[in-house]
Amino acid sequence: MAMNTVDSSKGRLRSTYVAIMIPLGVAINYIGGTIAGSLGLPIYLDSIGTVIVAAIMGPWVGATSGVLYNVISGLTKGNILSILFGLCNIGSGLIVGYMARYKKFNTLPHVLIATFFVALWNAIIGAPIAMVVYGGVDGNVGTNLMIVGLQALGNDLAGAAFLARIPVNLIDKGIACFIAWGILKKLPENMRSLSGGRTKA
Amino acid sequence: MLQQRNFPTLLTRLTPAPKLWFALGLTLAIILVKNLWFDVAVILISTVMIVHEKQMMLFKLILITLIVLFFAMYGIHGAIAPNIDPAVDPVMFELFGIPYYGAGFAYASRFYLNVAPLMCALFLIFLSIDMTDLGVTICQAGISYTAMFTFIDSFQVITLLKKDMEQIQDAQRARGLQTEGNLIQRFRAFVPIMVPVVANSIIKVQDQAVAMDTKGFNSDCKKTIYRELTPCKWDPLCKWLGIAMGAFAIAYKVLVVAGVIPALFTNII
Repeated sequence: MAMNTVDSSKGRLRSTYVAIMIPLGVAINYIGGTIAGSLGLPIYLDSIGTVIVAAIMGPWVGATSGVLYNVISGLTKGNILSILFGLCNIGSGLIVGYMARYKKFNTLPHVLIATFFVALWNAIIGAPIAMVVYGGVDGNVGTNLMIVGLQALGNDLAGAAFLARIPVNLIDKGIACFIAWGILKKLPENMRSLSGGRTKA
Repeated sequence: MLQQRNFPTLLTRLTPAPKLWFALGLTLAIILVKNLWFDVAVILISTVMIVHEKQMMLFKLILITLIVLFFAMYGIHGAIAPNIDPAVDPVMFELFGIPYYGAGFAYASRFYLNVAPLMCALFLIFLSIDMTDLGVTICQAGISYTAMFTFIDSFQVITLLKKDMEQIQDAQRARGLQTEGNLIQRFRAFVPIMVPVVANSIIKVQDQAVAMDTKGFNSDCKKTIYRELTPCKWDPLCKWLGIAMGAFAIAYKVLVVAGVIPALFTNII
C-alpha cells in the first residue's frame, strides 16, 4: 500500500508550524539572553531563536519571531523603549531567512557571509536606536567598554556607538548563525523545507 | 509544612484591558511630559507597590538592570557626553583624574529618567496580568485566535524552556562543566547548555504540530473560550486615568511644540 505523505511547507499544517515555531523562537532568544546574563558574557546572544526560525520557516516568520521577542522582553522587563531594538531582529530574520530560502545557508562560507550581513545590519540599526533610547550606551558591558575606548581615541558618540557594535555583533550573531546552521544540518529532511520557498519537484 | 496562600490584591483583581490603558497613558506621560517629580513619584509609588505585592524577588532582576544602566549611562555620559564643552561647562568633580561635568549628568538624566520609572511601573503592571486573561482580552478586542495563541504561547514556552535550561545546566555542571572562571571558560560553557535546550525543543515541534492539528487548531469553527473575566469595580477608574494621562501628555506636547504654551511641566532637558 502506498504511503501518503504530508507536505508541511504549505497549507494549514504550515500555519500550525508557524504558530509553534514563533513562540519557540521567542523562548530560545529569551533563554539565550538569560544564559549569557547568568554566565556574565559581554554579548547579547538573544537572536539565536530568530536565526533558527528564519532558517527553518522563512524570512517573515523569523522576523515576526524576532520582533515578538523584543515586545515580550520589553513588556516583562518593563523596558518598553527597548522594543525598538526589534528592528534589528527583523533584519536578522529577513537576511538569514532569504539566504536559507535560496539555499545560501548550507555551507561554512554561507554562514560567514550571513554573519557579516546580520552583524552589519544590527550595528547600523542598533546604534541610532541606542542613541534615542539610552543616549548611545546600553546595558551591555562589552559594548560600553568599546564605546569608551573609541571615544577616548577621538570618535564622537554616534560613531563610537556604531563602531563598537560591529565586533560585538560579529561575535554575537556569529554564534547565533553557527548554532542555527548546526541545528539545521541535524534536522530531518521534512523539517528543513518549511520555509515556503519554491522547491524543485 | 506551612503553605503560603496568595490572596488577590487590588492590582491582581483589575482586568487586563484597564491595566493596558493605564500602562499606555503612563508611558506617554513619562516620555512626553518629562517632569522630574512625576518620574520620581512613579519610581517611589511603584517600589512601595512592589514591596506590598511581595514581588521583591522578581524585582531584583530589574533592579540589577537598572543599576547597570545607571552606572553605564551616568558613568560614561557624565564624562564624555556629546553636549559637553570642556571649555565652558563646569566640572562637578573629578574621579581618578577624569572630570565629571554637570552637562553630562543632565544628558544622562534625560535618558535614564525615561527608562527607570517605566521599568519599575510596567514591570509590576505586566507581572500582575494573568496571561490567560490577557488572551481573552486580546480575543475580545477582535484579534485573531492564531495571533492570540502565538503571543500567549510565547510566555508559556519561555517558562518551559527555562525549566529545561536549569535541568541541563545542573546536569552539565554535574559532568564537570565550568560555568565560572575567566571569559573564555564562560564562553565555552554556553554551547553545552544552549545547544541541548534548542535541540530538545525542536525535536518536540513535529509532535506538537500533529497534536494541535488533531485537536482542530486550524479548524474554521469559532473557538470556545472557557475563561470569563470578572470585572473589578476599579476597572473604569484605572482605564480612564490611563486615557486622561495619555491624552494630556499628547495635547501638552503638541501645544508646546507648536509654541502655544510654554513647557510648564517639563524640567528634564
